[in-house]
Amino acid sequence: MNDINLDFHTTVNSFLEGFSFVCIIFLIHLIISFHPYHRFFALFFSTSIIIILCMTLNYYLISPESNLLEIIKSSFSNSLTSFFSFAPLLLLFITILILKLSTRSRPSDPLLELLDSELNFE
Amino acid sequence: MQLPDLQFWFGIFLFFAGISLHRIGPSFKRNMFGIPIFLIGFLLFLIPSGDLSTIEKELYSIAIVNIPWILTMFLGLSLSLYGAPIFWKRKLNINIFGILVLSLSWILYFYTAFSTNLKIINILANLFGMFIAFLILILIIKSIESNTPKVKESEPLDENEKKFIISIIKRNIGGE
Repeated sequence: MNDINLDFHTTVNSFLEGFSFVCIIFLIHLIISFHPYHRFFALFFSTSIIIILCMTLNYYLISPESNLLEIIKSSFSNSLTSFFSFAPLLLLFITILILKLSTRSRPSDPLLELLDSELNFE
Repeated sequence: MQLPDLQFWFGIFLFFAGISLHRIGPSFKRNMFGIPIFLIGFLLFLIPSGDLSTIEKELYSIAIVNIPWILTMFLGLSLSLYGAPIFWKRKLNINIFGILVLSLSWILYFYTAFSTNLKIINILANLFGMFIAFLILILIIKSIESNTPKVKESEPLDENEKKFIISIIKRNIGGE
């Protein structure tokens, strides 16, 4: 029973870590690519609230002995590790895509032909 | 937090910041600071200045094992795409070389990073968390965009504005 509880806690913990990882990356993206025509503040505050909710859930339900920094660090660490484990599937998808692209012939297009012949565009 | 750990996390921050900065416009152009910041972040992450703590060391060791084949994969992808007949004529040599580099990344992966000792449930839960976060962020962006007040349609030109426009057109293209 304890094992099941432990597994359940680890699984929920992993879910929350993945969730907060994406939200933090989005927050970094929002700040770095700041643009006056974006609805920056609405997005910033809503994402921040989601991250705070996630962290609070993680802190109170899963790991009350760790601090906020530890939770953020482990969420980044575990999510990047998951990405590395998932990356071979990405490589498989890319390989299939590249093989498909390499075996097809370029569609005939009068505009592309014009570019090739008139402008010597390679 | 020790200095090497701080450098490690700052490197990761700069890595993602560089990607974000590179993605912003203007259209068909990329921000000139994106790639340098990305590379600085990558180097700070890759070359720690001292001993890392437990969490950092774990991530660092996994990254070091995986980075060679991921870099080879991106190189192979870029070369094959450049050589494939998508927008340009086929460049057969580059295309084949790209596919060979892609195959090399498979070999590198199986020699260095392949492991059957994975915590599948945790990885799936983590990826599911990321997927749900993406969905929720898309919903938030959609709802904020749809609640953005629409710009009012502009009023028709009044007599003075019409005269002004006509005078500009006359100056530029002539006419009665």
